[in-house]
Amino acid sequence: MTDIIIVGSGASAMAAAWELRDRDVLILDTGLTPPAAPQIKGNLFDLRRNDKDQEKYILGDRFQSLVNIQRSDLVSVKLKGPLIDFVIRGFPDMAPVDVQGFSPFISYARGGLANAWGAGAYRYSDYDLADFPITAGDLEPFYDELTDHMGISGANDYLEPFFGRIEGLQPPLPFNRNCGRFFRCWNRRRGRMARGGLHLGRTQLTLLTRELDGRPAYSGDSTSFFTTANPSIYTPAITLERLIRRANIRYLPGWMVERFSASGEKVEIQARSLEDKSPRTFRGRHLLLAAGAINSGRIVLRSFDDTRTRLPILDNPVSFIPFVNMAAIGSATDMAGYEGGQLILIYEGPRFPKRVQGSMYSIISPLRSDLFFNFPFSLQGNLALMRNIIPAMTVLQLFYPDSPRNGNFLQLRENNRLKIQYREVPRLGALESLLIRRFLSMGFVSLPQLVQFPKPGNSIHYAGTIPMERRGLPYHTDRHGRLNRSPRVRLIDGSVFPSLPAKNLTFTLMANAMRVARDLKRSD
Amino acid sequence: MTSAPDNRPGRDLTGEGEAFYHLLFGKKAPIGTGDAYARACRILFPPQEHFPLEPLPHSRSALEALELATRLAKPLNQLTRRVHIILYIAEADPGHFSTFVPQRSNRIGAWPRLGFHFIRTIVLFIRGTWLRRRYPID
Repeated sequence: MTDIIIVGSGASAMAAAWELRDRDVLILDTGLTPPAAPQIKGNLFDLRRNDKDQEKYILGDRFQSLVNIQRSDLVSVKLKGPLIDFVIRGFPDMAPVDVQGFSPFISYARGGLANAWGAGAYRYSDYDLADFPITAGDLEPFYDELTDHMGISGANDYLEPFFGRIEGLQPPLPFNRNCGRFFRCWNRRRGRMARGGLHLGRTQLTLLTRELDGRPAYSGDSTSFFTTANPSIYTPAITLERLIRRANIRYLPGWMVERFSASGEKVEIQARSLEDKSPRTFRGRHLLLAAGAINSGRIVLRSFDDTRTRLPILDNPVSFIPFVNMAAIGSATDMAGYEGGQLILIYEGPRFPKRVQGSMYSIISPLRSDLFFNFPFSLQGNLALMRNIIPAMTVLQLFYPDSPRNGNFLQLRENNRLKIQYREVPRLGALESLLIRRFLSMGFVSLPQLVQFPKPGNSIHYAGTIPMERRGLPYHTDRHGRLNRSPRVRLIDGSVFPSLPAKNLTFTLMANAMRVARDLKRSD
Repeated sequence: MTSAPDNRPGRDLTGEGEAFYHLLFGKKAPIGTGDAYARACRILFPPQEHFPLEPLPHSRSALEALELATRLAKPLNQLTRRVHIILYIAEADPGHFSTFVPQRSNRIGAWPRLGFHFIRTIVLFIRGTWLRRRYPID
């Protein structure tokens, strides 16, 4: 019998496994992997300029990159390339979901959804944890350990009141052209903006600017929209590679966990082979569930054959505001600039009851064809816009907080399909209008009509299905992630978040998973 | 325009792809572009989804006007989706790199060019709205 079984290989699973690396651990995972070939080697723009075979990794042999031309419910530009679409492959076929008002992205990949994350690492403050039975102080030592383990670049700057002071940061990347200009313009207006509830600073990124543990510093290769094989950007697969070199850690991909049952000193986990659908039972003393908020909720409900209970589900409402840097219209593409989020905006004011957070990106490496028909001109006009406007474009992605609502839930059906309903969506748009007016004075222009409000589910930040709370209900956990109905089972992913702040949750769910794992070590 | 089983031989789709390439870039398609288009259509569209190009206007500007007016009324229409395929295929061709990724600044020239296309788009939209009555596209 194994000491500890961890289900999943995403961010939380790997943080807990890292904490438990000296124990006898079995990691059960679906574990889908990217194709072995082709690979992207070198700078993306050099390859795009010269490589006659780029169609294989830009479009795919089955034209995977063109998936969005057939649908109004778009797949994220970052999840559709032929070397990156394994992150969401298998969904919804492997575990069907019936959705109403929700467009989920579920990963069965080795390393989970964080294979394609934005790499922003944000610490929750006591403000963010107001609904949690833990404090920022409980998480701080684990944030610090993860900072050393993952490598985070950035600076303690104007956003320190919101994120705390962080030691051990690597130097920040230089700004790309548009973000740099935006930051300079903002600094001239910083006092006025702050009085209006707007705060801006650098993003802290799990992207190396110095070599760390054999991982190289970021080379500016601009490939992150096309491959997950960027060792300078942290993904949970990096931790997994290190863990499986240890004799006491076993990694078993190819298994879909369906349910568990706990009795006395052991937990039995029933899983099904992805290859031949055969069932198998695994036994351990403890189970750590990290299958993602939606699938962990499904596993818990199936374990108790419960088709009546509705579990809450949380998701950050999102909007995208495109801006044009008027000073850069007609410029050459900033091919040396980093294409990920470089600036963080925090809003705290009357336009929304809680803090809202946004990330600002410049459009550098995505395919222009992905954006071409977002412009309202004729074909020739759009070609001209594409050449002259895209190098000047930034996109502000706003995340809003979420809390449990009666109309938003998931429920297991008699046929084991999961139903997800998400009907209660906050009314957005007021903050977007304010930002469009404020940014105009800095030469960054947009229109309210250009703002996009994707369907719920598009944030890919899901949480809250089995929350940790003080009330002690059957489908709650205690502050150490122990499921009230079955204390040998601990939930360590986003399912335990009782509410979802606007900050990206990944870094916090990793810190929380480590915290729970340490409690398990201590109490065992 | 109604749907009917698409059992056209490969060269029909190849020719269609080459026509769309000409519509976009105003020149003859490089070798292989039409074939890549035909392959993409077979993978991306269900076999029953037939889009006959022949009845549409042959003039490049009329087709562009029709595409614009149709797209603004119905973004996921058959014509725009097919033009979109050609756009992706062209973007993955190193010969088109500078079409998609400008490597030299032209900040003064950009403004009159964009102004010209703004006016041209309005003219094409009016023409396309009229053409849509004669050539409705799903």
